Amino acid sequence: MTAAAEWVKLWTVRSTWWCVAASVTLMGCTAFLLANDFVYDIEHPDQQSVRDTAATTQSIVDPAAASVSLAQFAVIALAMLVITSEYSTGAIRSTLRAVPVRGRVLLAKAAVAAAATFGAGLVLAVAGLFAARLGLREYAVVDLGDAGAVAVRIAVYLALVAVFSVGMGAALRSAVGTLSAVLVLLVGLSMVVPEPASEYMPGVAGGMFVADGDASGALILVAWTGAVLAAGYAVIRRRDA
Amino acid sequence: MTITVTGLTKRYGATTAVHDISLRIAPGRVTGFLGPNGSGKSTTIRMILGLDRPTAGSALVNGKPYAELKNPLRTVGALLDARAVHPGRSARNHLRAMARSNGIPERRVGEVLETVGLRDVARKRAGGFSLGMSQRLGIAEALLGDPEVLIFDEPVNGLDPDGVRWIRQLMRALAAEGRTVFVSSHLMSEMQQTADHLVVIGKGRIIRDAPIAEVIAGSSTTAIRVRTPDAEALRHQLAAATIAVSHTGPDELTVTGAQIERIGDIAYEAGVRLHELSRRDASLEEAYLELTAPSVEYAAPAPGESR
Repeated sequence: MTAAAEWVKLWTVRSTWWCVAASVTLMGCTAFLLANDFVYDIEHPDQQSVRDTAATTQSIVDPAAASVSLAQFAVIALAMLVITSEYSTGAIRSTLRAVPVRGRVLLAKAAVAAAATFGAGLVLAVAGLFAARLGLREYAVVDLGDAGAVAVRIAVYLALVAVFSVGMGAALRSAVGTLSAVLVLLVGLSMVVPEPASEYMPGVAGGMFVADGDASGALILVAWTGAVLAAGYAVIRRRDA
Repeated sequence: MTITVTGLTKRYGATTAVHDISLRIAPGRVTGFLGPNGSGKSTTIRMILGLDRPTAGSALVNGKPYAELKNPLRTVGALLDARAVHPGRSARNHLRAMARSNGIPERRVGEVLETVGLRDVARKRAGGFSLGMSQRLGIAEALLGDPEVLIFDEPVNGLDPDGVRWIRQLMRALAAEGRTVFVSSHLMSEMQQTADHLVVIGKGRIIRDAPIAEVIAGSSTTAIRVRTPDAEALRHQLAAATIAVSHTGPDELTVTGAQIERIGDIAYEAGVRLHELSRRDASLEEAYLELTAPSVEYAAPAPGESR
């Protein structure tokens, strides 16, 4: 019942719809641009300065997978608003009066954010793959098995990032603080932590999982997500609402 | 259903917001919870509702802590700050989500919106509501689960005179149905017309917990007015009986802290002719100011009074 109520709440504010629309748009545009770059390099061999492969074709999976790192920001916003908007508006007090068992509230919010972003993830993966196909033109390699697999990986990755954001939102309460912390952990750490330690950072590990189906990357991201959710639970359980 | 508060205490660092209060809030009547701003009313209510964790003591609803109630909205309805709704969500959708979380049938949403007079704006976003409309939405939320216990924190804030009268009648009706109604206010006049029983709080401590008539009668500002052509003689007699005379005019006295019969007897024994002997009841306002004067948190000097 708690999750059903959270599901109603999620889809009855405009911000959710805006975030989904923004993430799909970001995904499609980025994938198309990346594909277009690849084609440009092939068609203008004289201008190519830094082509890193000699390949003359590209799988549509590659630009799509690479676009997730940008499209994820709209998904992070959607997920964290599930909880931070309740703290900023005071609605959390209504929520906790209706369901005073706070762990149940947090789990319901995480589950609803995960389910919604998994679904949105499939949609935006398809949008990214189509845009990649469009951008790559005759240089595209289409393997439906690969495409389906990457779509599921993108959806799983985004669902995990959503739960990560909900946990962070419960721990920090403020939207700005939550967004900053998620960005630092997901993006910032990958840049400052040297290899090979960086492979254990959530952003890098998640990227490896999306691009290559790397199972250890998925496990590392799951562990990070679990840790942040536990921190969120520790705060929401103890602090006054 | 009874709310039982035992030794409830809330400290924030060095400040004690609520200091060891114990209360029994009974069904079938309106219990007013009265105190100046910052006296601990809202903190007490939040602890009863399980939103704030007490430093010590307990608050039980029907013998259980709030957090252990199953589908709590069906047992306790509450109005806290009226603006506690996501401004982007419509009134109807807010209530639909609340109903679903407690297994309350969806038709109740329409019923309570009708009750509070928000049916026409049910699909409008709550962010555009006036304070009075937000207050009505909060009341709709409180009524949603048809609960036996109702807690209202400053319900008349922002309501127009019609709204004030409406909520007064609503609270009376809910109590008449045998429900437990607990309502906080810093407005005396409101309590005087609504409450049966009064709990007065100041600086986090219970100052008074009694039926409203008793609070008024027990006030030292309940005075007796005596008119007599022989005021000086009577004043001497009363002073001899250690009865305080607060005011002396050429032919009248104001006496406090004594029964009216006693004054009549003294006058009779002294052979003093009386033209009037009458009781002047304090208003709740006066009784309240007297009770809470030592515990007002943010006192301003009276106009014209120098610091």
